[in-house]
Amino acid sequence: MNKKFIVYIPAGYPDIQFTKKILEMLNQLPITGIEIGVPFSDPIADGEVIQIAHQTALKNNINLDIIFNLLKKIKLNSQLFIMSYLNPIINYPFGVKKFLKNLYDCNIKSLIIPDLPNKEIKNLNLNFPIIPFAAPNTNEEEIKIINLLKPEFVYYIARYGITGERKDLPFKDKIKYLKTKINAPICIGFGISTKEQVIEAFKIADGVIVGSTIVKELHTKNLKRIEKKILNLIP
Amino acid sequence: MEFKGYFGEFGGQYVPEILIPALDELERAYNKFKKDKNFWLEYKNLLKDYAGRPTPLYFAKRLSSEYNLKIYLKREDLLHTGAHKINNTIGQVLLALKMGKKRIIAETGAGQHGVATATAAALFGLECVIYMGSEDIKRQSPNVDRMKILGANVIPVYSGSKTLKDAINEALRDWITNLKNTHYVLGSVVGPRPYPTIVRDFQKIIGEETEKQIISKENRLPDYIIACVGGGSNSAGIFYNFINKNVKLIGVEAGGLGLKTDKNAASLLKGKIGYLHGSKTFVLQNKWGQINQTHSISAGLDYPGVGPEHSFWKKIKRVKYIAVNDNEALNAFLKLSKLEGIIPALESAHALAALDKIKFKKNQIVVINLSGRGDKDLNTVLNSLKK
Repeated sequence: MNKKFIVYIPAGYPDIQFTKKILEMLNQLPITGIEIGVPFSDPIADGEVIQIAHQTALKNNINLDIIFNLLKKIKLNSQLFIMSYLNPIINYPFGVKKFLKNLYDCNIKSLIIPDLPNKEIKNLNLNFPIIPFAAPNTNEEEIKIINLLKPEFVYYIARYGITGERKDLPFKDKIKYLKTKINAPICIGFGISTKEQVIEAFKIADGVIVGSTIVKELHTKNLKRIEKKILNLIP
Repeated sequence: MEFKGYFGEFGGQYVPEILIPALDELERAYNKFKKDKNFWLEYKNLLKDYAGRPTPLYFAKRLSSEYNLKIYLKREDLLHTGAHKINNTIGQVLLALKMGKKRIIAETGAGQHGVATATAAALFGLECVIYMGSEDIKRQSPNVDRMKILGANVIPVYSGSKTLKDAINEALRDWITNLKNTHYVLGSVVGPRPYPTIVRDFQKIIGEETEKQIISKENRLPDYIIACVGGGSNSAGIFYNFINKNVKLIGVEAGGLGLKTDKNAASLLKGKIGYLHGSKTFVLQNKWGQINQTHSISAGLDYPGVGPEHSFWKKIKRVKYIAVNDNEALNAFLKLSKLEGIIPALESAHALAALDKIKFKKNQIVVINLSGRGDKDLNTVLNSLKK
């Protein structure tokens, strides 16, 4: 498959041992990327399913070091991304240098920071690749910023809204337009929860990011069921 | 390094990408109408005839003799809806109308900003949705009833600490979803650019009036101006006009059960620099950068962040920030009620309690921003007195 299929897994939900099992299971599946979610107290871009995952993980005292330790122990076949809100990154208790070293040690490709808009990426000066966002309201000026970053991929937010299951894929013309303007691969996220959406997304873009619809199943701790859920989404 | 929209190193626009065009639209509209004489005339007329400005600067005689000072109270509590919040909501709703928005959303803590937003929305016939933490709904029920009567839809927020911080999260989620027809009326000098500037500009009239009034009464500037700081809108409103003048400015944070406990809301005194609700600012957080749950007897101060301009004023040492704990605020609440016949909001009672914390010289002139009235707090106060 030359299209990207990226799965979002919130670390430590429902517990960190199960996160390890999920990652091992994902190694057997035909996916291309894993986005590990760092729990945050105030996930403003996320809907209820992922909010609950974050709150549960925080109750389990999950933090970045626990996540780094887990990732260092597992060899993954897929590209690995870390999704974290900005504050836990900037206030990593052992400093930015140590944070970056951990990213390299865990073989992280890029960071995905939902409360870091493209134009603040440069100001932040973090010295690590960051995935920029595009959206139905992305304009020419933003496209220039995105192309200058030369990212691994662009995270296209499919709709006006927060994360959570939906059935449609709106603004297709916008995606087609962005494909002609943006040099990097475009992956579509936010509300991707059916195989039909994935098929449509693969026609006009380069990949998908799937979150809530899988996260919703994690509390069952039923690996077979979760595996089936994911396989059912892949065309 | 200085970037556009920052106060020194503080401020910025740390929100999801999808909000950026909406914030840019708001900033363009604000910059346009800021220069529009008719817009300001309409705004000032509404503040005068509808909200009741200018508010008096009242010489509190009995309180003054108690402290051997000349204490003046800036009576924002006498404004329509009972607090300074209406200065901002009328301005922002006017702006929303100019931008063609049909739907207004807001967060509220104590309920004062919610009531002021619902009022301005009713005045202009706009749909209004207010997000309020379920914990705050319990402790500020009179304001919930007022919002409902004014026609607003009050949506309880059950996530996180169930207070102001979580109400802001939920309002931001609504805004992300309904950008096209909705204006988010943020209630304090917090949030992403341009909000801290817009809200401060709509509140700075407090300080401008104060200067004229104190000059006409005392023929000089005051020695001190004291105001409480939650997000920081009433304090920014009264301080801003005096930033480059020779007046000592004191911001009072909520000390809750004490600064040595973790049950307080003193972001500037106990927080670390971080990122919350779109701004780089001082934030109460744990070792791993998770935002703390805060505590204050006053719902309006119960917030783990603070406006970025306050962080800047702290850093350049222009404003001195202190904390007052729950009991001290409660005593000040009772004291003003009995000495002056004015029941202050518990938020404003924090500013009043600072009178016991500062070493004044005899007969110095002190202005205290009485940001709101205390009717909404009677339940809280009576319950606390029972304990």
